[in-house]
Amino acid sequence: MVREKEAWVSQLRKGVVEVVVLGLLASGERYGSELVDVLSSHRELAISGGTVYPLLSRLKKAGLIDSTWAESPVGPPRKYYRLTADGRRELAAMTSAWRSVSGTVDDFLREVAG
Amino acid sequence: MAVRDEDELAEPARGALRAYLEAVEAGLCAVDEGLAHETVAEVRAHFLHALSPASTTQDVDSIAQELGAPDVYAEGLCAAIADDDIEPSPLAGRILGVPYELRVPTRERVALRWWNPQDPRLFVPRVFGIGWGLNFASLAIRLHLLEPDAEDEPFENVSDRAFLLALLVPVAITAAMLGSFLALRSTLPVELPAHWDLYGVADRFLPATTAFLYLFALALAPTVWAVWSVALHRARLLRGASIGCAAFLASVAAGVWAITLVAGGGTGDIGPWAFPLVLIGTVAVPLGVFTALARSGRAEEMRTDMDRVDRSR
Repeated sequence: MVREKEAWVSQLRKGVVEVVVLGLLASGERYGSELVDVLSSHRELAISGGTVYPLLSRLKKAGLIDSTWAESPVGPPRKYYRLTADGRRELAAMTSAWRSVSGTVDDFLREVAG
Repeated sequence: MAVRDEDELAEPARGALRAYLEAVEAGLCAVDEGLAHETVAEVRAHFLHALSPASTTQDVDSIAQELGAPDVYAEGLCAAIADDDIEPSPLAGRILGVPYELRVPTRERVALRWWNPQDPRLFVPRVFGIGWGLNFASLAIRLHLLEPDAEDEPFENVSDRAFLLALLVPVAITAAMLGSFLALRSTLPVELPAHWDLYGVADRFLPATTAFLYLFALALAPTVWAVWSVALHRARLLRGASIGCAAFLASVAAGVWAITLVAGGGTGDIGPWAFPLVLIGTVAVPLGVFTALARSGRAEEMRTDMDRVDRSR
């Protein structure tokens, strides 16, 4: 049962990591290690560099994000990631899906707890 | 509502249902047969639950529409099943925790086994055979020689000239082996050590020329392959991997050849330093080649991006 619960939690994280990354980029462009730092500081998401970079590459191939090298104020140039128009649309759709699903799930769980 | 068996359905509706189920089954990926059967049975049950003996083709179609086109539905099922890490093939898996893979690999998978920045693991299962191999990209990233996202696609922006320069490394090592053999041939002992035990004591000897040819073949074959893939302008990932792989095998061969020469000049035995030294060399040389290629690809990516920004200003 413990194993199953762990598997469930990891599936849950796997499912939300995409929307989290897109959401993070909605506020503006960020470079790779900055994304990793922000995401890995939220320990409950259990996201590491090893998960972020393959995901970025997948999102880029899907045309949801784009990347460009640009001078950095300190040190060598950095690769910055930003949402594309498609990415913005996808994020809006994912956000509304998330709101409706999580709202419904919360309703169920309130009844269970109550 | 609900029917127990598809035979209870009227003919046109039954035909439509069967056609949909067959299309789903045909679209299923290479999952094991039991699982495919079970999946199709569940889809059938979903239909039967919503249908009645009086149902028409339109009823079947409207349920089918909810599920989506059969091939798309099958694709989704495949993805869901694949997420569960079900390993359908007996040709791949693990024995006592050690991975094995006996399916014939694609060229791209072979290339990515040597250099895959997307895979954080240092040791990755072999693309063919038993055990693990070193993922040089992960090593370069851990040593801070490169960022994980340095290149969008491995070696995609590496210039033809950079490939040629990198190719010089395995070619030079292979040529140096041949040169050293030709130069030293007359002074070599009749037999050279060809194998050592754990304590570095030579326990097998071969005629000098034979000992050389074995090692030379180990360097020459992958180097010829790398020259070939560069000459034929194969996909850039394959070119990079073949050069790095040749640099690795040529370093192994040259390292062992160097030990053989040093040991053959004396008693045939080698000191404890020999193998660690060769091991460092055989990792460092290909690591250098791979990293230099990836860095040149990164530089090219940067130049393109920044030129575009400059122009737009």
